[in-house]
Amino acid sequence: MKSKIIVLSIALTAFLSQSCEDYLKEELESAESAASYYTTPQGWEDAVRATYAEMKNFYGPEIGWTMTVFGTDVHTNGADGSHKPINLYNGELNPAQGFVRQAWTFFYRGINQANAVINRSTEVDLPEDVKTARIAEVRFLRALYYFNLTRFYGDIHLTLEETEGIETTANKTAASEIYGQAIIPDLEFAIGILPDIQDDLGRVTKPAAEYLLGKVLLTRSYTSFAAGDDASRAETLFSNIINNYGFELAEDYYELWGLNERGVPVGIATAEDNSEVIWAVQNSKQQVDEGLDGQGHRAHLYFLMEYDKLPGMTRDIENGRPWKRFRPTNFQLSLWDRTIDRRYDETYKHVWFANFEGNIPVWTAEEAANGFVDVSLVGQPKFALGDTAIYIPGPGLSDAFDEEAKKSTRYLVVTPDPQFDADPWFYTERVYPTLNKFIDNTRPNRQHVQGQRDYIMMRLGEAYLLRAEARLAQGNVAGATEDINVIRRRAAWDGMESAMEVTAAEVDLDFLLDERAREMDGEGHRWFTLARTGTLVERVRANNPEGSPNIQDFHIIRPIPLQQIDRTEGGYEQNPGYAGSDT
Amino acid sequence: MRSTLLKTAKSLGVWLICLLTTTSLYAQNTISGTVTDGETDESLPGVNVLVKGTTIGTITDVDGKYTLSVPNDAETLVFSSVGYTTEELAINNQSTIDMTMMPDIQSLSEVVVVGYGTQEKRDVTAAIASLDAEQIAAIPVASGVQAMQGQVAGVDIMQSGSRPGQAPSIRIRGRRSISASNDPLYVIDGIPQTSSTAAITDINPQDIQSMEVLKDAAATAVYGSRGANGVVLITTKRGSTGKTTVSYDGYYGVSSVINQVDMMNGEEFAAMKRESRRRDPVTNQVSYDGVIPDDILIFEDPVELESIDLGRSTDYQDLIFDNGYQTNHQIGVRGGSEKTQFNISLGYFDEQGIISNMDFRRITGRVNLDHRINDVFKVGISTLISNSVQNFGSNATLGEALANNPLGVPYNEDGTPRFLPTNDGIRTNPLSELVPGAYVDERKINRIFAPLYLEANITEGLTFRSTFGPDIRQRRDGDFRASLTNTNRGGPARAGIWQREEAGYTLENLLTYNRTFFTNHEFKFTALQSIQALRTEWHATNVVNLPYESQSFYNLGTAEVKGDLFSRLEEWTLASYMGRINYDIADKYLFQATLRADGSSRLAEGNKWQYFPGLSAGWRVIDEGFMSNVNFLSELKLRASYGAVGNTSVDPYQTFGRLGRTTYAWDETPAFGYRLAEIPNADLGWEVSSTVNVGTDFGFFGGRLSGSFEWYNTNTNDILLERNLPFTSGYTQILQNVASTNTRGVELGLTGVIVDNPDGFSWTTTFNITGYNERITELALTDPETGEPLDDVGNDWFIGQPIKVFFDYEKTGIWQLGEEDMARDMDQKVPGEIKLKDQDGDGEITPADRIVLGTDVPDFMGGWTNNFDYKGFNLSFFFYYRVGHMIRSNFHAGNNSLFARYNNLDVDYWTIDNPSNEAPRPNENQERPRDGGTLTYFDGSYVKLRNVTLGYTLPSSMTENWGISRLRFYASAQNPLFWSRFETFDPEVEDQDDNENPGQVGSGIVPSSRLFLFGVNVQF
Repeated sequence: MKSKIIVLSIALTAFLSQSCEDYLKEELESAESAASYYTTPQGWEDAVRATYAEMKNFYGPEIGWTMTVFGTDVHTNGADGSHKPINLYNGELNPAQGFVRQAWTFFYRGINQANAVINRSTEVDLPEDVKTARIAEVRFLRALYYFNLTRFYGDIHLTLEETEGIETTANKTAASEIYGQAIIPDLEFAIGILPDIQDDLGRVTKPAAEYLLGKVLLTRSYTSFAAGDDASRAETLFSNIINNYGFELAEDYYELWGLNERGVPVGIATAEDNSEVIWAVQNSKQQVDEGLDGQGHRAHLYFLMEYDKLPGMTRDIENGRPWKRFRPTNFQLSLWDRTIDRRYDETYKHVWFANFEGNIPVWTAEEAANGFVDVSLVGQPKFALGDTAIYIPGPGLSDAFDEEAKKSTRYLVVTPDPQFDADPWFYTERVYPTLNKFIDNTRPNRQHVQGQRDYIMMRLGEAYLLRAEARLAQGNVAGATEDINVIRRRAAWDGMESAMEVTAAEVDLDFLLDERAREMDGEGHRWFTLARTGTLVERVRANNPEGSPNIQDFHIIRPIPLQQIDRTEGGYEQNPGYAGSDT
Repeated sequence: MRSTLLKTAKSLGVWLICLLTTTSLYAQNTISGTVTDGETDESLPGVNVLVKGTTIGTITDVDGKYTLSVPNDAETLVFSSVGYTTEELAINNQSTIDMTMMPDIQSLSEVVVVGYGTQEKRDVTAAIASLDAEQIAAIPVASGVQAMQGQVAGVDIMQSGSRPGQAPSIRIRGRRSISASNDPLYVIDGIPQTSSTAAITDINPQDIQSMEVLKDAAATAVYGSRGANGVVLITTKRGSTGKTTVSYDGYYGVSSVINQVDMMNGEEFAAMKRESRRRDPVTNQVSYDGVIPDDILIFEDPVELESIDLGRSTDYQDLIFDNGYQTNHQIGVRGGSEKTQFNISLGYFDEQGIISNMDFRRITGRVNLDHRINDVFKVGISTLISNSVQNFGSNATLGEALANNPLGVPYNEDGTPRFLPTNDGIRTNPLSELVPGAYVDERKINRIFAPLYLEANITEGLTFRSTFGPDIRQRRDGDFRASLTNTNRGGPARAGIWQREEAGYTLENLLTYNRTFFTNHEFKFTALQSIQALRTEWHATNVVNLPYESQSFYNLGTAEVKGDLFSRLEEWTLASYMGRINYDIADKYLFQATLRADGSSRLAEGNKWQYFPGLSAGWRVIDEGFMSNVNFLSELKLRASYGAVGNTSVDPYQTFGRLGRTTYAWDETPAFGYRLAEIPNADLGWEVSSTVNVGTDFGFFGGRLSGSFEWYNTNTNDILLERNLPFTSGYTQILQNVASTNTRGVELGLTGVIVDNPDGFSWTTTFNITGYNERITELALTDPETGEPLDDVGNDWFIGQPIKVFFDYEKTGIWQLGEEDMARDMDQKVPGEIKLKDQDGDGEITPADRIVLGTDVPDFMGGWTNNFDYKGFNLSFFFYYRVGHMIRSNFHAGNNSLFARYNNLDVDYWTIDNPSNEAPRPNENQERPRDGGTLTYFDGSYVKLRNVTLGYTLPSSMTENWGISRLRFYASAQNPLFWSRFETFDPEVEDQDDNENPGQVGSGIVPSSRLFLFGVNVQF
């Protein structure tokens, strides 16, 4: 009986002893929540840093390059990649296109992050001046994200408040309001607060905000809702940047990319410290190498041709991992006069040196019979490791390679067109002149996609060209010519400076756009530039053989992503021309 | 909440104390005797002998003898033993009472395990199906769950290819949720498992005594918050009093791939590649009516041209598939005395897949012990120790075998694999994945699961049982990728270790009270208090650039590039109270009521607690007087039930709104940050399903035909769904209680004893069929004017449709010559591209033309088993079928790109000379055909002959001479045949890597295999 009572009391104790409230309390240890972390100084600063980090989703990975480089007059598609519709302007450039959706998603995420920093600043214990300085930075970033969104998509959703709770609706605000209510006030605020230089390299500075505002105003000056002084305000801003902060053009064009005068990389790490750079999206070597940064600068992949399948070659770090996405159009290749202009030579790759013994071709009896080589060498390798394996003479220098020259040269020569029947070595979607500006031979291995380069968003060279554009818009051709000549003189071979100079009679918007193509080749601005100046459709039709049959007037903006439309309560209006739009 | 529970518990305590005071003690007499089996005349050990109306009793010894001291006023002895009819005998002052017991042949008096107790099958009022040890052991499989496939109506089990060690997916009465888990709750030896289906792969199927599936909510309501997806109760074999038996079961079989996929051969590939290069001679642009350039311009790789010249073609599937094997060995020892019973077993399972670097080995040890301390106390433990190693293998093996250009050359001259069979840097040799040590993905799991209990028979009918179940499960994944693997493609080797440690426990206190009032009013009360907690820690290390490859993943510190460190902690708790009352009147009118309260840490404050009621009633019509003349009926019972259950299987911490780490740098100085990643959801609450179930159990012609039928109607409210949000909000989704669904279904199970001759030929057949209809009834979106629920297109949720539907354009064919203008105007297409149906007839293909094409819910499914016996020979075969569901085949999305860079399914594609309507024209300019998604939907129906077994049991008269009580040999074929309209691999292959998108056939799946094996069962 006694034991039974003991058991019973155990049972009852077990029933009663639990305090269920404490037992069920949930504590978050291995992560943080906004409610608790953003209210601390460290947490709020981390929220600011996260606003910067959103840039890396677009500036560096394939999406940003794809949406700005091809589908223009100067670059068309290479052989590979699933995002060719952005170049082809075919039916697959539709509301379901992946990059069109992702760009929309990333920028709105960045905007919400910026809104959160501003919203939560009242709860954090930091000196007011520190808070204001950081708010100026995130307002710059918010302006950048809205600027990109409206340039890509036109009329869009506008909110300056952090999303708290579940939001299933969205507005469609006119682009004019996006400029007027968000982009311009944000940048004006930033300019009023930001310092000329930041201790942390990469934080937004006053000249960066001025530069962006200049570009914003210049962009608006072409629109139906332009303010009368847009172009003149832009000119003033660029003049301030050119004159007042001590930025200087790199002495040699190639320095900007850490290359030498033959386009060969010699020191990438120092390129970013150039005094011409006004502002750049930061990548850290340690972070990209160790996988802490999953994005990095990836343009080293996209401009390369398929050298690794050609005789005497295999893929290595030095020559890069060729994804063959972006191929220069013949128009782009025709732009440089290489006798006076050194920009092609300094940023394109000319020679690939044999790095693979296994597939070096041998002289054949037929070649000996044709007199290309002495009979004694039949069966001998045409070249040895380290010798030239591939040569692309490039614009102006290819004519020397006729059938006989191509056949008798011991290395492979790639010319714009075939020189004889079944000549396989001419410009195709696989083999073409390769822009080497972004090559990254410092990656830890040949497969590594995250490169360490900073993404140079603003540089003094472009500031001159933007001021030239602002001056042109105001009818000041002489001033524009002056700016263009600054850039052209720098691009001249030694002693050719005067030959490079142009006269006002030669300068118009078309010339400026061509000059931008020569100077800013592959730098991620072209689509915006053509869209801004209203020349996208005509220039693609004229110069991009893949895009020209399909491009239509409505392609000056991208479609609204289908998922945005599907997910929005009450729907969301599609941009004109695209499947599902009312117009 | 707390005060209510306290009150309940306190009043319960007072009530119990009142009951205890009724017991008293008297003077004693001694009775002894022997119990024998009425059929065999052998003595019967382990029989319970009890003085009726008291707790005074004993158990017969090895020779069937017992001695018992009884009070003077004792009148009747009750003899009971599992498998025998309980007998009562008047004492009448006798001192020797022998008893002959008759085996209980009526299957209806089987005992089934229900949650927190057992019940005689005849008394069950809820929808419960059960499988016994014999049925489970009949099919040689790695896990007990697989043995259930097709055997239980309403239980849908899907294999995921034949990767060794892979857990199947299991759905009981369909799916309720998408974001929360749909796995049923597994309860092993009374302890609810903290992990999902994977956890029971640690259990050796031969150790299982019985598996019960609780299907309706009245049955699962005792498991409240976790009962929504059904409950599978697994009881392991325990020891028994009497002779110690030693048994050995083993089999060995050889497996091979069921079928290979028809990919293009070299010649077909070359033709496709030529077609894909067709270009307009003037513009040099890709064109459907252009010209095909010379081969020298098409085939960039000299190897391709050489193969074309030689007529050479490589079939990579031939190279990678091998014979596999499966073997299992289990030794068990069972026995015990009156006081202590034990069951010890040691099992070894080893499966080699049909691709050489995929295998699975498991060693399990089990010790189940029960010990009676005295009349009151009993203790016991079930111990499982298991170690398993799965070599997961490389998905690239099959992927590359399918995608590699058949014009490539797989071997070097020295016979080693040529890493790049062509000069395409992406397509590596599938054989490189199979080089020993090159690709290592070794997943090792160690588990200790050892519930122990203390049971006390406090007084007659009142039992207290406390069970503590610790469960420790460690998983370590060791990864290594050599330079020459598809992962690295010649880049430096990489390696990593990922570890997870789960430590959970369950503590349950259970009080049961049985009492009979007035002669035939039986009353049973069960009360439970339970707490459960799980703590999971992860950590991972990944490194790149290893100096030497032979280290595999055992020397990570030497890597040049370290990084990607990871660790995480997750904890959750659950607290519960449950009460249940069973009340039977005259064994004919059966009632059960349950109420469970569960509190979960994972839900938001204020929403943590929920009550789950269950009610059921049964009427044993057959036992009514008016049925006594109805001779053709041997059983008839009607049942009805209602219950509500919950689902809390969401990840912890969802209510907080966690931040995500971001990476940035100021120059080279790290500037990591934290961004908003989740919307805090302070309203996250229970998903609750309530089910009405009506069922009947019936038997005809003396049990020759028996079965049961169920109809159910389930309403699930506040379904936890990962709801997609417009991107403009800055977020993409949130876990929310957002929808309601209704599921209605029927289940029919039939067993027929067609020929029954114990000495000659017997034939039994069982058949089951089930079907259900699932539809969404409510969503978060409503029409602002009418308040009617609206479709949520952004999530592919539609009112009246199942949760998972395939919403897409409908392919009607291929645009043909002569339709150029229409193709352009409707969809900006050209002949040779996929033609879509203009559903709204506006002359344009727009997103409005998407429709619901189908769902992954089958129309019906089930199984059919036949058993033939003849003089020791036994033949059985088992069909499994699933009909009327749609599958989306990622396999087709991946292998039908018609891009002519990778090998392709051998489809009938369009060319200017071949006006096919099946597949579009190959085009080098696209990585997949435009709207190629429309080529991936298939009718997933299939019928499979899952198993055929022929066995022979040697006559015991012969084997007893060798000291063997049972000796059986058998041969069995697994998956020998199947019929399906899905023409590639097996359609029964759910994409395990993609829980968010059920109903998909994965692209990296391992094809199904067929297994032929021989086995032996011996018992000493």
